[in-house]
This record gives sequence, C-alpha cells and structure tokens, in this order.
Amino acid sequence: MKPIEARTERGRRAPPLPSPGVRFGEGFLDRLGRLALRVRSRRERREGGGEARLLGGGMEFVGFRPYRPGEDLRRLDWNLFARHRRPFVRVSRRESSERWSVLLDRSASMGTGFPGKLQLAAEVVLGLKAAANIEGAEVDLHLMVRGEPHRHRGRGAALAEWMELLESTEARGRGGLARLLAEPGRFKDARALFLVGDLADLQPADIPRLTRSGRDILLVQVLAPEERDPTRLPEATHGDAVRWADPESTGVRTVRLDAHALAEYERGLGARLEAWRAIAAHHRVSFTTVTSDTPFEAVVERVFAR
Amino acid sequence: MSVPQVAAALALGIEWSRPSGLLLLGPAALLLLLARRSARPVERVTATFDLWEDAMRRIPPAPRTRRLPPLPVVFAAVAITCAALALAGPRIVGSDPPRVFTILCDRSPSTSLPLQPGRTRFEVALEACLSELARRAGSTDRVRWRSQDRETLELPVGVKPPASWFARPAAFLPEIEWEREDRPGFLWVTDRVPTPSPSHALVFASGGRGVPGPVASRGGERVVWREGGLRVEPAPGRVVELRGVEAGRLGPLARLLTIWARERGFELRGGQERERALLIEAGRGAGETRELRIAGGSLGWGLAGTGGAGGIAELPEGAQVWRFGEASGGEAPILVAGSPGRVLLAFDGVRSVEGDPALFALAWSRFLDRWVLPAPGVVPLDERRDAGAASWDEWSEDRFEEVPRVGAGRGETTSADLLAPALAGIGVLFATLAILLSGGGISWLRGRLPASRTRT
Repeated sequence: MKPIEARTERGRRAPPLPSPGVRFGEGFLDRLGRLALRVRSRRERREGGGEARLLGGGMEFVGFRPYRPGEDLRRLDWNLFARHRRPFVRVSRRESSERWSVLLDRSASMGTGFPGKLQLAAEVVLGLKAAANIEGAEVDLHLMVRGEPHRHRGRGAALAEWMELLESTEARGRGGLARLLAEPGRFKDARALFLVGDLADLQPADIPRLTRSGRDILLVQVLAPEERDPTRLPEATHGDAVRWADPESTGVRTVRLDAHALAEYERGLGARLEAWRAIAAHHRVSFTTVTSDTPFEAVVERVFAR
Repeated sequence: MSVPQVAAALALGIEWSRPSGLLLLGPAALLLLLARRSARPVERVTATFDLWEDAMRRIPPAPRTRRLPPLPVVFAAVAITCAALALAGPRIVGSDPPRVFTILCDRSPSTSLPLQPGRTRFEVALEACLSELARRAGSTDRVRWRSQDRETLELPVGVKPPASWFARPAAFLPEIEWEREDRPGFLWVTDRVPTPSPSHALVFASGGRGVPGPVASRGGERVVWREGGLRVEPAPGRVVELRGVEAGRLGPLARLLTIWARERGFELRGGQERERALLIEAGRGAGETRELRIAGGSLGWGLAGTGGAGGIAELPEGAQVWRFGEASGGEAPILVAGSPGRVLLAFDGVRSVEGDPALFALAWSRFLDRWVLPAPGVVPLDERRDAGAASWDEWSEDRFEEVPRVGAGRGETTSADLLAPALAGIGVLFATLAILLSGGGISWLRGRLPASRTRT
C-alpha cells in the first residue's frame, strides 16, 4: 500500500508537545552520585592507562602513558622517546582554570519523545556538570532564554542551582543550537564544547568552524525513540497513517507507515547520521546518538569513553 | 404505508408527537463524531519532520483515501437514531384521521351565575376550554358539543355552535352524571370541579364565589338568600295559561288543573300573560275529530274525550311524549306532550276520568310540575353557593394520545401508526448487527456455539 498524499496545512497552530518540560525525580541525585563515582574511577584509570580525549596540555602534570595512534603529536614527550625509543604522551590533571561549555538545545523539537528529549538532555547536562566538578573544570551552560542566548556561569554554582534552572526550562520556540553557535564569542575560551540536542537545526558543515587547537568538541544527539526507529510505533505494525507535525512550524504530513515509507525514512535518517559521523571523524569530534529513553548515565559515560 | 405517505416522509412531512425524543439524536451524532475523530490519523510531533517530507517526495503519491468510522459504530449510530425517531412519535402529516373532541357543557343553573362583569361562570370556563383546545387540536379535528338539554352538534375546530345553542335553559336542568362522561377526548366545562377527578377527561371549572339572590318562589312570595340567611320577600304572582279551548270543555281535567294551580300558588287563566309559569295548549290534535282515550296510564288511570285523531303533529323541542291511547294498528297517536313551560294536549274535550281519580291527579300533577318554568332569577340555594377556585386542566401527552379519531376505534391500528414500530424494529436490527460485528459480539457468539464449547 502506498503512502497517502501528504499536504501542509497553513495557518494551523503549532501542535502540543508531548514532553515539553523537565522534572528530576527523587532518585536522580543518587543516580548522579553513583555516576560521579564511576567518572572518578574512570579518570583515575585513565591517568594510569591513558586515554587522550579531554586530557590535554597546559595542565597539571600527573605522568606518562604510551602513545596511541592518532593522538596529538604535540603531547608526545620527545625526551622519553629519545631515551626509550618508544613514544609516550604526557598525562595531566585539568587545571582549575579549564572551561567547558555546554550548549543545550531547548527548542520545541526537544519536546518530542517519551520520555522527552529535553528531559534526557537536561539529565546529561547535569551529568556533565558532575563530571566537570570531578575533573576540576569550570563549566558554563548556554541556552536560549526568552529568545536570546543566555550563559549560566558555572563557577561556584551548586548542582541544585543548575537543577532549578533546568526544571524551569521548557521546550519552546525555534531557537536551537544554531542560534547559540551564531555567537561563538560566548564560548571562545572553552576547552571542551558539548552540544546537547537533536541537532535538527544544524548541518554537519557547521562543525568545522567550531574546532580550534586544544578544544574538544562533543556532540550528543538525542532523538525520540520513534524518530530513531519508527517501526516502534503501533501505526507501523498495521500500516496505519500518522499525521506528522513539525513542532517548530505549522507543517503537517500525513504518512501511511507502510514498508515503502519506513524504508525511505530509514534511508534518509541513515544518510544524515552517516554525514554526522563522517564529519566528526574527520575533525576528531566526538559524536554520540542516543534515544531519549536511554539512561543519562550511559550517555555521559559513552561521551567520556570516546 | 401508501405512496403519498412515503413521499411525505421523504419530504420531511413528518410531525412529532413527542419531540423531546429527538434529543437522543445528540448521542448518535456525538458517537459518529467521536468515531470519525478516532478514524483520523494519530497526530505525532517529530523533530525529523523534514526526513518524512523527503521520504514522501521520493515515493509517488497515492490517491487519498477517506477512512470511514468502523462499521459497528456506524450501525450503533443508526440504531440510536432509529430509537430517537421512534421515541419522538413520528406521524406523517395528513395521514392520521382527525381527532374527535367532546366539549360537555354543564348548563345547570349555577353556571349561569355571573362571575365577571358581563360574563357568566360558564362563559369563563368555556373560554379556558377553547384556549386549550386551540393549543393542541389540529385544523382537521372535529369537536362535538354536548349539554344536558341540547342536541349534540359536531363542528370543525374553531367553530362554535350558534348563540341559541348556548341560550339559558328555560327550566332547571339536572346535574350531569360526570362519572359516566369520563372518557378520552372529553372536556368538561362547568363551574365547580366534579368529584372524583376524571381519569381521561379534562376539567375546566370557572369556580366563583357565592351569588346571593332568589332561591325559590311560591305564589306572591319568593325566598331570597342574602348575607348568609334566607328571607321571604313579596314577588309578582304568576299564572298558568290555558289556551285552545275553554276550561269547561276539559271537564275533570280542568278541575284538576285549577286545583293544581292553586296549590302551586298560580292562577289558572286564559289569554296571554307576561308572568307565565306554564302554557297549556289543548285541541292540538291533527286530523278528524273523534273519540280519544288514554287507558292504562302509568298508575292505572284513564282519560276519555275527543280530539284530532292524528294526535299532536308538531312537537316542541325536547318534548316528553306520552303515547297513550288505544292502539289501532301501527303507531299510536301522541295525545299528551310536555316541554319546559309548555304542555300540549290532543284533546279538545274531556268527558271522564277512568280508574282511581287520586292516581290520575298524582300522575298529572307530577307531569305539570316538571314543565313549570322557574320564576325569573330563581336559582336553587345549592347552586348559588361558593363554587371554589378556578381549575384549568392541560393535556398530558398520555391523555392527548387517548383522544379518539374519526373512523378509528380505540386500539385500532392505522398504517401511519406503524411508522414508530418500524423505526424501532430497524433500530433493533442495526443494534444487533453492531453487537455482532464488534469484537465483543463475535466473542459472545463464539462462546455460545456448541462446537466451540466442545473445543474448549
């Protein structure tokens, strides 16, 4: 059966979002504490065995570890190389002055999914904050507030303050990551740049201009389960029609979820994800795609594992 | 149902006896709306809207298909709609025979008493009755007018009998036996609410306070009810007029008339009188004069004399006829007749009284008493008393449905009457189909099949 004709309705109101808000449950802080312990343990292992990401020069020196192919040659210790004829890189603890910037997408498209994408994104942001505290980094949160980019300074900020801020946030409007990235001066001194959102308003070509020497860029793409895999929907089981609505415009498309439509969607999504992965690999940017029903701990750990 | 009736139905030429039943159409419409809403595609919000648009561009569009509500829901809606229409009492305009209403007019003396300036109790009650009738009766309906002393008239709705039909009765009329008149379609027009209350008829009672005035008269006196007491007052005397023959020709009958008149306070005279209590007209027999004889009267008396052999030819309206006399084959001639204020005799001469003369006197005095006109203004005391408060009934739906129709006896079914049952039947059919087509219905059916029981 072919999909039925799609159309766009003009003048209709934006549809209601299924999960626009953020709420941290009672057990969230416990989960966050356990995550912090795991991050700390991972960091200690890293300092001994060594991973390269998020550990760079100009920091408090803690030791050496063997060089891995692809690592920045500037971190190679030439003296050790000359002495042992084997490559080693310097391992250092981050200095207290190191700054991370977390850019959170809170546009209307983040209100989709169940649980909501913004919910998981907010939980990930807090996970990053906890990790930053362990790493000794200072982290700023960037998000749109009343239509304007807003930076929430992380210096000395308590976790509770961040939680309160995020709980007052709601997915709304069209201002996503693209609007935040339009003012790069706000995070020019960021040693690590985290982009957390569905990346719906970004193109892979936007990433290269963010790179700079010594900066780590980490993309966390959060998709709704049905966005990642529409075959999960009950309509896909029976080949029924779904009226798709764009949360950030008045567009609607009625699509019968038959095999043809699902295959075409899967092809389009696969191509888009592949483009992101390719640009990320080329510019040594961390790229993680998760669905909003993924536990935030797994997301944070996956980000730091790269 | 005839072709014109079907055509009228298709043209919505339908009237509803219980329009409130149509309210049930609301749930049916709601059910269809909800079903239609549920049949619409689920709306989902997605951040990958552009991917779906791209996917759609790569697939050739298919013709749009309109999804109908599920069949069981449609059938259920049809069933509810049929039930609503059946409950509303559909009736094809012009298909039903006209109704027949009966206005029963109480013309007892109390109804002639004044209630409002220039209007009697009866007139006020009749106005209320006609107002209710105009509210419910159709233009083709008929009205039968009845009273104690008038000929029954059947007229179209909105047409009243002539004024003479409503003229004040010459004599006191007996009270209506209301319980015998408690029938569907009857409207009682009276001044006080009869007891017990009717089960079928509607009551229009004017009510009214007590009206003082004369309550009886005798000779040159009359009794007046005033200020709660009875007073005797002088009054002009009245006469009994004998016309047609000289009193002497009536012999023993004339003597009886003289005695009876004196006992009643009247004066027996000849010639026209203004204050006349009774007119006795002798010699009204038609045809050749010959011997006339009344034998075997009610109390065994007899009367012999002469008069027209054909008996009384022209009877007054409402006359009570005495068919006395020798049977000479065929119908006996009418020798004596009476009506209010008037007695007619075929005799032009009376020779003798036969049998017991006392019984003769008793029978004749009763007969004469019956036709004596009441004195002007005299109304019996019980009639003058307070009639209570006014009471107007209205038709309930049930009572209105009882009103008989021309040519259709009670319980008789016409083709138009089958419309509501037919709709109800269709409703039951669709309800059954809805249940059977729904998943629950099929499961219910399977559970009752012997084979499935065996398998389980």
